[in-house]
Amino acid sequence: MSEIRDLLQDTAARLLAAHPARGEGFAAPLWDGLEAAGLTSMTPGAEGPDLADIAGVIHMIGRHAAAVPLAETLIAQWLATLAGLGPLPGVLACGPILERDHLTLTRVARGWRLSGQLRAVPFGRHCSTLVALAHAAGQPQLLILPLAAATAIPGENAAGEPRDSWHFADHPVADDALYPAPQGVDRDWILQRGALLRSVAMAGAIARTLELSIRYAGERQQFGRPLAKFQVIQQMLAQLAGCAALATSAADGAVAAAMTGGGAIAIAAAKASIGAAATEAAALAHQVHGAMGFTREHELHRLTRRLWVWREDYGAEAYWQLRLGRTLAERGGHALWSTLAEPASLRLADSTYNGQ
Amino acid sequence: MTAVNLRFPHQHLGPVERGLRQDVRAFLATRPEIDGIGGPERWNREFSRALAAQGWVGMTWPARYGGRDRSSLERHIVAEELFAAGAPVRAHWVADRQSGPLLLAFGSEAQKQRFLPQMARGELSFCIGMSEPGSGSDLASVRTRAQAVAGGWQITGTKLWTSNAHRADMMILFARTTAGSADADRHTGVSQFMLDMTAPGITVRPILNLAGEHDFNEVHLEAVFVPDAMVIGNIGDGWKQVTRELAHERSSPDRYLTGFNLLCRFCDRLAAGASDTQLTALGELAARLWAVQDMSRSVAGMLQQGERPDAQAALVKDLGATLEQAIPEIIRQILPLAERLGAPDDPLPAMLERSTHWAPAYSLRGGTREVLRGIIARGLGLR
Repeated sequence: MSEIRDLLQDTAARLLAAHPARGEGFAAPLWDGLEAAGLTSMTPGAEGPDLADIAGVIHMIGRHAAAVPLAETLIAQWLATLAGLGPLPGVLACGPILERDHLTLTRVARGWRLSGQLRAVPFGRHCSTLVALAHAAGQPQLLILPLAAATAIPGENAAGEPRDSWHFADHPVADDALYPAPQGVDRDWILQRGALLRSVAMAGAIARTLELSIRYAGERQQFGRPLAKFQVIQQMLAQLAGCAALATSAADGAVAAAMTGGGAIAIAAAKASIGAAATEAAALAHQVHGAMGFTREHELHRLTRRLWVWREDYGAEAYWQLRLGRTLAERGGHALWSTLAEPASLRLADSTYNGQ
Repeated sequence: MTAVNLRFPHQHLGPVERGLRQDVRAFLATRPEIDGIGGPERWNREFSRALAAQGWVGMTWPARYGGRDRSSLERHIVAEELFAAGAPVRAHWVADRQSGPLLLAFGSEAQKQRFLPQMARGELSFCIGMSEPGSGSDLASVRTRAQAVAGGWQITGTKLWTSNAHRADMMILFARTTAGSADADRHTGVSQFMLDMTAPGITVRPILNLAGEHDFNEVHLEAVFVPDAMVIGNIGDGWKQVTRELAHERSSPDRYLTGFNLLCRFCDRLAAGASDTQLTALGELAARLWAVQDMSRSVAGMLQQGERPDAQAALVKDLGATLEQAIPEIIRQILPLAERLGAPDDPLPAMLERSTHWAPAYSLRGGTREVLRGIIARGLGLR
């Protein structure tokens, strides 16, 4: 493990311990700590942290079910860096992600007018700046839009996390808010980075459900002995360990693939298989925890409710399965193994499926 | 709280492994046995010898015993390519995976010099005599008895579910060397022997499996003489040795790629036109396979580092078996009968049928799912 990774992990661990997650909504004190420590402006590059270092922090955020949009902010920072900009302050949003969400710019006498929508943006109301792809006269542009003058329509997902929307209608945009879209960056690039970092966070949350389950099974006594001494419980915990190990391994594999090429195949496979692992892990963790885990008081729901909704973020299992299946079918059975064993630089087939 | 998650460090492949992969693919492309239909369970001594001539049997063993001093990771890459292609590896596979490493770890110098080079040439095949009529998962309860006689041991008993006993040259036999089976010496009174399958007193009777195929056997041993020179390791160390041996049996590509040809032919079928539902099913299976093959390669890397990832290996085998059982089931559901009935020479329907028949075995052989999960639970500190 690199020195920089140790440093980042220690810093994140200290902050997460100092600001334990409580209640619902945005964890502002934790965010302030992360921002002050520089963890909200990390971008993968030749100097400083690489993508695996960044993923290590996201894994911890997931493990603590921390209510902060660190993944979204870091993707926005990444986009800004690729456009030649320095780090941006505050909480950031990126997009567009969802099908039918588009941003269009129209030239006016002074500056531009922005139209279109972005829906279900994580922690949108807390974001100070939007970093998004928008089209101006058919050309892709990177839009860096201050959000002070835009009103987010509040919403939330089933885990109580803000998922807010903006509907822009001739919203004024200054000339200096537009930059040429970085080479190689399109909607799919953003979607894949989102899927990658959300997969990593899910792996962290699944790992934590295993830890909680093992602890509970060791403490809770029934029929005169700890639950963990019952074979049937041991079998369930072994299965849960399988989910946790698969998720973290798949997340690591996708990060590694993304660092050596596009990684699209690996990212698709990771989001799909980690989503399925999340389903199984949540069910097993709840079964082990019994009625205790089915309360708002117990911390398990903070993880499992997030796992359930994170499956939907940046493409649910079926979305990535379809794109992966289409890619593999197009290449044919003789290429199936080579595609899966060394997936680094292949392109993924598009999807017409509207299941993001 | 201490981290209880089992580690699977990502295993990066370098130019050596990538080059080797291409070499194996080039070799397989020249072999008539690779037909996209037949699987790795096929027994073909000629193929095993040809593969050995390339240096890919016993390849991690020291050169002085006929090996090639290659890494576990390189062997893993070769195994991936063989199983993904459905290469007929059965005649050398047990020797390569299990019996050779067992001899290397515990065999005498004379045993190593005599047997390992033959194994590495693909010329000496092995079967494993572990289970018995009364001893399945509870291996320590074996009753086959080895009694000390002048110059060696006399062995009597019955082994069951012995794959390839009817065609293997040698057997690694697990037998009791002290009387009784009291709990106290369940794990100390057992030993391992090497048997020549042509020795007098050995009777092999076929047991057809559910698929109607002759794979496993009942092997009766009636006062079979085994010289002292064929004892593996130390008398009384059998349990310790066999536990180590079984760790080699788990988590390699044969635990998730035995039915891979079926998935390839399913993929071909969808290439000719498919619904989104069908493509999604292919993607689901492929995503799981991608995850498992990465974990399996990670275990190979840990073995290479000299670690003992017993729980991780058990975990990969469990995930691999579950996936291998899902493949025919999902294909069945997603490819209706009418679509399955293609041209008369289409191999897919028969492959699907065969895979369905074999599926129950995947979570039984080499450690049942329940035994594996027990090992994982131990790795989690629950036992």
